[in-house]
Amino acid sequence: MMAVDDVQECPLCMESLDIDDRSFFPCTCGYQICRFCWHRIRVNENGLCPACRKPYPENPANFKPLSVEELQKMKAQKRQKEQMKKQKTVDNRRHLADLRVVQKNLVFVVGIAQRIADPEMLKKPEYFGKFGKIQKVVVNPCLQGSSAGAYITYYKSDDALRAIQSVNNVPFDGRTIKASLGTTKYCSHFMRNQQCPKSECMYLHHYGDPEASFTKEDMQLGKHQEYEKKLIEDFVQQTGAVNIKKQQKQRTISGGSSGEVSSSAITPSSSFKDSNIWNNGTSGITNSSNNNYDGGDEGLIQQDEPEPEEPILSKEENNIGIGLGLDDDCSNGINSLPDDDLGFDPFHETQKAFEELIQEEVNNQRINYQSFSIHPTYSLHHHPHHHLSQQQQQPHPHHHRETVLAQHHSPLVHQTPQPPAQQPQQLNSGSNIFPRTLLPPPGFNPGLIQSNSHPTPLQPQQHNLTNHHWTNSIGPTTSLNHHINHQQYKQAQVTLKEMEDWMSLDPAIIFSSNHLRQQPTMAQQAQTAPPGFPTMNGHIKTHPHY
Amino acid sequence: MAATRRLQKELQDLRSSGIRAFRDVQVDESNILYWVGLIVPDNPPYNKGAFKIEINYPAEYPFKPPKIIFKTKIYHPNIDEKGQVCLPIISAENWKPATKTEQVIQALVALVNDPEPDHPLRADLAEEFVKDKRKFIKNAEDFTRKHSEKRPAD
Repeated sequence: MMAVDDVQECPLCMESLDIDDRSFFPCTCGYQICRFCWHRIRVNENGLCPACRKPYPENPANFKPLSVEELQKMKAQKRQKEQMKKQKTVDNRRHLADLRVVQKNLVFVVGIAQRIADPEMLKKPEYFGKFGKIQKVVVNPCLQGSSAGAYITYYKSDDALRAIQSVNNVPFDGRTIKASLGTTKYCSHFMRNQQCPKSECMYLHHYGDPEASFTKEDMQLGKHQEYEKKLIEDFVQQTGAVNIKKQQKQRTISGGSSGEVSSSAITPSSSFKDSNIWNNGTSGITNSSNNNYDGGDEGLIQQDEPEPEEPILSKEENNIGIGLGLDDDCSNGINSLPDDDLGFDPFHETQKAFEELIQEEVNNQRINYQSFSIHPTYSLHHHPHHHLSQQQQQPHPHHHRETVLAQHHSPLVHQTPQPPAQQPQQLNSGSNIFPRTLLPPPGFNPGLIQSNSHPTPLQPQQHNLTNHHWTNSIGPTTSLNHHINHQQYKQAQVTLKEMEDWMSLDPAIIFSSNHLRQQPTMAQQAQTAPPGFPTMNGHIKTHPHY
Repeated sequence: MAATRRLQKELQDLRSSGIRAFRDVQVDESNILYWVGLIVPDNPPYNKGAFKIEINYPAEYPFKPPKIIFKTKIYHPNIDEKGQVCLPIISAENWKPATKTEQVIQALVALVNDPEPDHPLRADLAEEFVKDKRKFIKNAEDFTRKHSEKRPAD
C-alpha cells in the first residue's frame, strides 16, 4: 500500500477519500483515485488509468476491503477527532455565557399594567402593534405587583426603536412605562454546539455583533445604554429631516391641534414623528436632534426652581437597564428577581409625581365651579378625537394650547406653581417645556392630551379654570374621551350632568381635598393617574356608572 | 462540479509555486474555468517579450483536457495565427486526468523556448526555422519586439 498520508484526497475530484477508498487502487501502476471517479472513467470516459493510460482492468488491481475491526477502529478514531474539535468549539463559546447581546428589534418594557399584561393584548394595534409587525411577545411574570415587564420582538429594528421612542417614560395607569432595547443571551444549545430543538427559541444561535455584546460589568457601567443611545440617535438622524419639518408644521398649527396629534398617531410613520416630539423632553435621548425645543426648555427651567425629577429619572434609566439584563434570566424562569432590581419603586415615583400635582392644584384654589358651564361645549369639541373634527385640524388662533397643557401637566418641572398672571408671558417657553413633561405620546394617551389641550378660547384668567377642570375631572374626562369617540354629544351632556355627583365619589377628588396626606391605594392610583392607552376604556369604563 | 474543486486547488498550488515563466495568473471569481496568464520565455528570440495566453477548462475537467490559446501574436512554428498551439500533453488522445495545470504550463513554456519543427502548425515558419535559422531568429525577434507584451520588471 502506498500514500496513506494525511492528505487523503482523490487527485481528480479533490474530495477526501472515504475510509474504504484508502485501500482502493484500481490500476496496476498504483495510481489511487476514489471509486466515484474510477466508476466515471470506466462508464463515461475512456476507461484508461488517468495516470498511465493503461486500460483499467475489470476488477481493481489492488483492493483489500477493510476488515470490520479495522473499520471500527478507524471510525472510532474519526469520532474522537470530531469530538475533540467539537469540544474545542464549546470551549471557545464558554465565555458567551457571560455576554448579553442587545437586540435591535427587541423592546424590553416595564411598568405595564397587569390588565394589559398579556401577549395578545400587547400585540394589538392600540398598544405595541402600532409601531410595526411583532414577531413575539413574552410577558415577564417575575415582576410582582401590578406592573409587568414584557419582551416585544419586532420584525424590524426601526419599529422597535420607534416603539421605545414613543412609550419610554410615558405614564400609564399610574406607572411610568420604561422601554429600552432588550438583550438576549446565547442559547444553551448553541453554547454546546448543538442544534436547538425549539422552533421559536428567542435566544441567540449565532455569534452576535461584538459591538452589541456586553458583559454584566459592562451593563452595570451602562455601556449597553450608550450603544442604545447611539442607535436611537442614528435612527433619529435618518428620519430627522422629515421630523423637523413635521414639528415645525405642528408648531405653527396652534402648536398642534389635539385632533391632529392623536389622529396622526394612528399611522405608524407619523406616530413616530409625534413621538419624537414627546420623547425629546422625556427621555433626553433625542435632545440633540431637537435643539429648538431644548433652548426654550432650559431657559424656562432657569426661571423656575431646579427641576427635581431629572436626576431621579436618569437614575431610573440606569437601573432599569441593569435590571433588564438580569431579567433575562427571569424570563427563562431560572431565577426570579424582586421588583427592587428595577432600582426604583414605581409606586413611589407615581405617588411623588401625584403629590406635586396636587400641590400645584392647591395653589390654584381660587376657582369658580360655575365656570363648569362651558363644559358641554368643551366635551363636544373634544371627544371625537379619532374622528378628527375639521375644527381641530384648522390652525387655531390660540397658540397657548400646549402651554396650558404643559404648565399643568408638568408638576414635576414646576415645583412651585406659576401665578396665573404669569402664564401668558410664558406661553412660548411653555410650549417648549411641553415635551419635557412626562406625557404619553399621542397614540398612547389621547384622552389626556385632549382634555387639556382643548382649544376653547382661553383668556388668561381662564387658565385656572381649565386646570381645575382637568384635575377634578380626570375620571369623567377620561371616560368621556374614550367613550364619546363613537357616541353623541347628548350622552356627553348626561355624563357631565353627573359630574358633580361623580366628583364626590371619585377617589381622586377625595384625595385632593385631603391634601395628599394619604397614601393612595392601588385603586386610587389607577384612577387618578393620567389616563393611558386609548383603549383604557375597558378599565375606566366603569366610572360613568358610579 | 468536480472541476471547481480541483481547479481551486490547482490555482492555489500554481500561485504558491511561483513559476517565473508563467506570471500574472488571473481567474474570474465567477468563472474558474477561464484563466489568463503571461508566458515569459527565457530563450531567444522570445526572451525580449511576454505572451498572453488563456486557458479554457471544460466542465468535465480533469476528465477532459484544457485548451490553451495565445492572445499575443507570436512568430513560432508550433503556434498559428489564431493563437492555437499544438501541445501533445493536452491533446484529447494523450490527455491524462492526472496531469496538473502546472505540468501543462511547463510543457508549453518548453515548447515556446524550443520550437519543434517536426510537428508544425505553420509549415513556412518550420521550414525557415530548419533551413535558415538566422533569418528565423531575426524575423522572430522583430516580430516579438513589435507585437509582444511587456515583460514583468522583476
